Amino acid sequence: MSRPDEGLIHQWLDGECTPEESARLERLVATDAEWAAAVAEARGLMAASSRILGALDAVPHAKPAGGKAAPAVARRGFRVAPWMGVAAGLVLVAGTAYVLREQSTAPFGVVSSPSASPTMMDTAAGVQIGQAGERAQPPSELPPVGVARPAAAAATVAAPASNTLPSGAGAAGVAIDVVPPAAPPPAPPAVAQRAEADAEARRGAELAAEQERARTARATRAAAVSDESRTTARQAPARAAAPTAAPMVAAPIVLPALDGCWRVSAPPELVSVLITPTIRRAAGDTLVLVTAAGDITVVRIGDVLRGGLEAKQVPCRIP
Amino acid sequence: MDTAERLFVTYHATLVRYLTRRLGDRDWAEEVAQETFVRALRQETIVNERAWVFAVAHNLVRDGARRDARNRRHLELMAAEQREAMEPDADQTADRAEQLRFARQALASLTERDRQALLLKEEGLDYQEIADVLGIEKSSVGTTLSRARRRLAESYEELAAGGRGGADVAS
Repeated sequence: MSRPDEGLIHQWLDGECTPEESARLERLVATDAEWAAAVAEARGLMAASSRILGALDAVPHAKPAGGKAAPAVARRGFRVAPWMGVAAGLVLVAGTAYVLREQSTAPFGVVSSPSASPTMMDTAAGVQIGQAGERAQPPSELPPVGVARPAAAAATVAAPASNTLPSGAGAAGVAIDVVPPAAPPPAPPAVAQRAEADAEARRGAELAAEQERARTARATRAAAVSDESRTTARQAPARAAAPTAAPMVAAPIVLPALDGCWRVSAPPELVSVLITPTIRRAAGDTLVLVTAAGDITVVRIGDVLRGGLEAKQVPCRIP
Repeated sequence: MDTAERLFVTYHATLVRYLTRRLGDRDWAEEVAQETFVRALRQETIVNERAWVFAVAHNLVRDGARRDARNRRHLELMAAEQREAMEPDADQTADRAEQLRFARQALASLTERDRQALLLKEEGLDYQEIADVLGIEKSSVGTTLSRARRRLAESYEELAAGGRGGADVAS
């Protein structure tokens, strides 16, 4: 018997031997313990080297001195033109102005926050949960479970709104609770005023229609509000009276997958949990939580919920 | 999908991984990969695409035109990684940083040919392609790889045994 040829063994294990060589090696391994041991060792070396080289993949991008590394893809690939930034800013400002304008109209009885706009609730990114055509309740019919929220936070929620989600995407939407804000919102900047002026004519008809929907929704809620929503409504003033929200530091629970319907409840320290009694799985599987301090937390499946949030599965109202 | 796009889609990820492992600098690796594909655009005919792509990248790395600047950058990166190894953050645990450091040191302990052969094999190149890229005989690739794998594993084990003893990638 020949001594094991390590190079040949690796060549064989790499699938680089001819059929004749492979057959010969198979016979050797089957009949010669030394060859068999050499092959086993070679397999171990191959696996170990692969694992070692795999550890090299954790290499970070080079970091400029004192700065944060810029992703190479970003540097060479997609670039944001300056005009896109300006346009995004205008959209944000217009949204802020719109929210502020909504505040002055106070469309709901207990609602005076900018987020009270049913349109905003309807379209805010992450607030909608559900699939098109599966809307359990029209957003305008959602019971107010409101909470105060600073204007800046409201703008943050509203900013991605309008055109980012398909209309009617909410199966059982998420409502933003609204109560009078703790502090008056800042005046819109000059650019916001200009943007508002430009869009005012276009929004006129839209606002009128929204207010009409809001009136209809209030009438509907007054007639058929659920026990749960009444409970929540009773809690709202107390929540609003709290000077600040407790930090979300309670024992965490893990948000379960949102298959089916879930009922999510919040403790008082989370001044608002902007969720309707039932939520359905949606593309984003995203909940938006807003604290009294205006902090916005976007929660997705598998995220750890803090602050004593609970999610319980309930029968679906909509098949 | 034109030829350039197909080449990019097919080989970019694996080429960047190969270069990153070899260079220890992902930005540098991506720049070399990009230059490789730029050259592919200029190339009228490519017989063995994979071997050609890796050979060009291999040669580009050897190109010393930017060596000084890159070496400085590389040293900065290594220094940063040493700091991260000493002060691991949430993104990179101490164990992971240690594994990376040991792996890099173990790889650096190989000869250039052994190192290249090993990295190319890990990216799926066959013996003929490795031989083409490195300019060696196909018959010597098996021996080269066996030697490289053994040295890499032994070097890593030595480093791990001398370190904290926790990072046991090779076991």
